[in-house]
Amino acid sequence: MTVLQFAPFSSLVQPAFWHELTSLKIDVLQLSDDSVPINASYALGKSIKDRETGKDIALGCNLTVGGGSFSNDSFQLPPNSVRASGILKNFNTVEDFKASDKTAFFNQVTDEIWETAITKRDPSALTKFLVITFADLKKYKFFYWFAFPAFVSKPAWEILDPGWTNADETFSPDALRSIHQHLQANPTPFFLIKSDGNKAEVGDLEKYQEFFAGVTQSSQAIGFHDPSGLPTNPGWPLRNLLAYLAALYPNITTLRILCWRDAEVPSGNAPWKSRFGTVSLPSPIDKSAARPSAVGWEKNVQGKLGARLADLAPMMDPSRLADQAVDLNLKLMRWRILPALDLDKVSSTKCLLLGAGTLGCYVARVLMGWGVRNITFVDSARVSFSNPVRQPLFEFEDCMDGGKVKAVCAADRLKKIFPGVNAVGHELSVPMPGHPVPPASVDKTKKDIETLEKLIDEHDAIFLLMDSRESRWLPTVVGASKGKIILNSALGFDTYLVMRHGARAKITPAGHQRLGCYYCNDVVAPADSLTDRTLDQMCTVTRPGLASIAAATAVELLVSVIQHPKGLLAPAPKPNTPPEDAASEGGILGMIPHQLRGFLAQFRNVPIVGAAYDKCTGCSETVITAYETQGYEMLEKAFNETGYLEKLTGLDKLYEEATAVMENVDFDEAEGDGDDF
Amino acid sequence: MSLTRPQFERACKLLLEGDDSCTPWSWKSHQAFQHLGYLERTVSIPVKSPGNPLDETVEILVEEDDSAAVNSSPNFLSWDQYIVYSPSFGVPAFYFIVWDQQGVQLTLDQLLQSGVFRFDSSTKLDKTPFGVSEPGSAFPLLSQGDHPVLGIRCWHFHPCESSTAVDELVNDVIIPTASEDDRLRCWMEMWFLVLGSAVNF
Repeated sequence: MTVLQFAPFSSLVQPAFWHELTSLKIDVLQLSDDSVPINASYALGKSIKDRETGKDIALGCNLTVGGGSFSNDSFQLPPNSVRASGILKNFNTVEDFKASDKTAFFNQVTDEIWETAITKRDPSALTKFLVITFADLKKYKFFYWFAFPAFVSKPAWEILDPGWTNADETFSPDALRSIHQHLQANPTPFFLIKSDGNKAEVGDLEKYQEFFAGVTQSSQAIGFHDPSGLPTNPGWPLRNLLAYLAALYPNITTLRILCWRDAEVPSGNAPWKSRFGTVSLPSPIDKSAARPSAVGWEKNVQGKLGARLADLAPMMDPSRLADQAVDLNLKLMRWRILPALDLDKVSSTKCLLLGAGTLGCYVARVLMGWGVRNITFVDSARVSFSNPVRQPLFEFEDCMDGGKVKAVCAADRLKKIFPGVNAVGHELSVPMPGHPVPPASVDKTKKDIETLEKLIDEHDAIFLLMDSRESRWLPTVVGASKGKIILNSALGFDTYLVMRHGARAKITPAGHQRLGCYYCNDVVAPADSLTDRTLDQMCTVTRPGLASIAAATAVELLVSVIQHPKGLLAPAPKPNTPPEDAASEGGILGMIPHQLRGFLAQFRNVPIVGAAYDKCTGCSETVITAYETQGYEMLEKAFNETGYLEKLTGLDKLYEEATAVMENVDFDEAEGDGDDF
Repeated sequence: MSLTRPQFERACKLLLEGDDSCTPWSWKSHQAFQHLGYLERTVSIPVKSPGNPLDETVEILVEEDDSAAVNSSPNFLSWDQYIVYSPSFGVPAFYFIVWDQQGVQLTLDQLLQSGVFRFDSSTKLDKTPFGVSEPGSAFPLLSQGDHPVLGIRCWHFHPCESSTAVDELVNDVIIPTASEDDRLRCWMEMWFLVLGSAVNF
C-alpha cells in the first residue's frame, strides 16, 4: 500500500486567449477587477513516443484555455474533452497583482466548490479553477497564475496492491467498448460503472445510491475522465471526486477506480490505455473542520509557487516583427544560397559615415539591407533644396527654415525606415590640410578632432564620403592609426572610385603586400582645392545614377572584406588575373579588389591594385607616428603650413631630385645624320 | 500540374481516408464560407530545455505541504499545422505556428532549435536528395503571413516552387492511365514527401 499521488493540472494557454483577454480588458473590463467566468477543457491523458529515445513521454495533465474561453457561445469543446468552469480576476497594475490577497481569493473559490458539490450535491463544481492575471498592454506582457483547488484528505488515500493496472485486466473488451460508446455519446467528467467484468453499464454520479442499490462491492466502480498520461498516477480531478464521495457517503473506505483514457477503441491487438486500481482510506477522515483544507496553486516554470509571465512582445510588438522579418530575409539568403555567409559579423559591424550626401544616403540604405544595426553620420551641412532628389534620406519638408541638420535628419529618417536601427547623427566639420585654422577657432577645432577620434575609435568601418579631396586626409590618418577598415568613394562627372585603404605598416605581417590609400599615388600633399572653384566644380555635378552605383559597390566591397578571415588584411587579386579566378580566389562572395574605377560612359568597372607608398602623406608610418606622438600640434601644422606634410614625409626632397634630374637632361640637337624614325 | 480548389478538397479527403499518423488530420472550413476549407492538426513536441526564466520575481506563496502531488512538469510545445489552398499558385501550402504552454509563439531562433525543421542554423545544407531538376534552394522559402481562412499570423512555406518539384516525382510514379483520384492521392503524398525534406513531420 502506498500513498496515492495525483498528477497536478498544468495550465495550457492558447495564444488566442491573450488576444481575447486584451480585447476584454480594453472593451469590457477597463479598470474593473471584477471576476469573470471562463471556460476551460481537459482532454484524455496521452503519451507520445520520443523520436530520439523511443521512450513514451506522458503529455502534461493539461487544463486548456483558448480564445473561446470567455464566452459560452464561442466556447468549443475539442474532441475527447470535458469542460471545466473557472473564474478569472484581472488586476490593473502589477502592484495590485502582486499585493492581492491570493489566499483569500483561493479560499473564497474553494468554499464555493464545497458549497456546491457537497451541500448542493452538484459534482460539476468539482473541477472549478481560478486564475489571476495582469495584462501590460504596452509591453505585451501577461502575468498570470492558475490555481486548481483540491481538497486535502487526512489521512491520505492509498492505492492497494498491485497498484494501477491496465483496464483490460479487469474489464473485458466488450465492457470497455460499451463504456467507450456511452462516453462518446455523453462526455462527462465523472461516472459510475456497474460491471461483472464482462459487461458494463454506465451511470450518473449524482444517482450513486440508486445506481449501486443491491450491487456487490466488487461490481461497483467509479470512473473519471483522466487527463493524466502517467501510468502510475491518476489526474487531479480524482482528488476532488474522492473528497466528494467521502463527504457524501461516509461509510466508504475502499473504492474501485477506472481512470478513463481511451479516446478511440484500440485497433488490432493494441492495449487499452485506461488504468484501473483500488484505493482506500487507512482510517476514517478527520471531519473536525467545516471543510477540508485545500491546495492547488500552480508552480511556475522554475518549479516554485510563483506567477508565470507570458511575454508576447517578440510576436506582437511591431518593431520586433519588423526586426524578425528583416532577419528572416537575410537568413534565407544564407540557408538557400550561401550557407558559409556570416551574417552576424556583418550586422554587428559598426559603420561611421563621414558625409551624409548622395553617397552617404545610398550607403546607409544598402547597409540596412545587410542588417547593419549601428550607423553614424557625420556632416556639417544642412539639407538644401537640391538635395532630396539625389539624396534619398531627405524630403522636401527637411529643406524648410534653413534646412535641417543633415547628419541628424538622415539618422532620424533611418529610424523611420527601420525602428530597430541604432542611427545617430553628428553635426561636425572635419578640419583639412590647406585650410588654416583661425586662432579663434582653435578650441572648437580641437574639440571637433577629439569627437572625430572618438567616433572612429567606436566604429569598425569608416566610409569616406565627403565632397572634397582634402577632407579625407584626417580620417585617413586617424583610421590608419587605429587599424580600422576604411572605404573610400569619390565621384567624377561620369566616373567613380571605390577603394579600401590598406593596413598600416606596423600591423602588416612581413612578406605581405601593403595596399595603398587614397593618397598613395600622390606626389603632392592634399591642398586647398575648394576656393576659387566654379559652381559645377563646387557641387560635384555628377550623373545622378553614379552615386547609387558607387555607394552600393562600396558597401558590397565592405561586406566582402568582412567575410574574409583576414578582414582588413585581405589580399587583392594580382593585376591581370582573369575575373573568374579572381572571384574564386577572393572569398565566399567573390573577388575582393583594392580599388574599382568605374566608367559610366562605358558601363565598365576596372579593378586596380595600388601598392602602398612609404612616403605617403596619408598612411605612411612617418605621418601616423608623428600624429600619434605630437597630436594636435602636428595636425595644426598640416592644416596651416603649406609644404609641412611634404617635408615630413620627404616628398619635398623627392620633388627636388626630380626637378634636378629634369634640368640635367641634355636636350641637344642630334649630331650627324638625323634618322627620321 | 495545378489543382483547382475542388480538386484540393478532394485530395484532402482522400488523404484523410488513408491517414494512419499518430495525430490524424481533420478537415475544417470557414464558419460562413463553407467552400474555404483546410486540413489541420496539432502535434505536441517535447522540449528538452526549461522555460524562460522570470526576470521579475513575483511574491512566492506558501502552501501546506502536499505529499499527494507528483512533481513532474513535462515541457511541451504545441505545433498547429495547417494545409491550406493557395489560389494564386494552385497548390497546397503549409502554414504553421509553434507555441509554448504559456501561449507564446516561438521566435525564429527558437523555431530553429525546436526540432520542427530538418536542420538548424549551424548545419550546412545539401541539395534535396530527390534529384529535383531545378537548381539551388534546399530549404523552402520560409515566410510569415496570415492564414488565408483563419486570419492568424503564421509561418508558411512559399508555394511558388512546390509544383515543379512534386510534378517530377508524381510523373516518375504514376501511370498515365491512373484515375483522377489516384493521381490526386499520389500528388498529395509526393507533396508531403517534398515538404518532409525540410519539416520534421
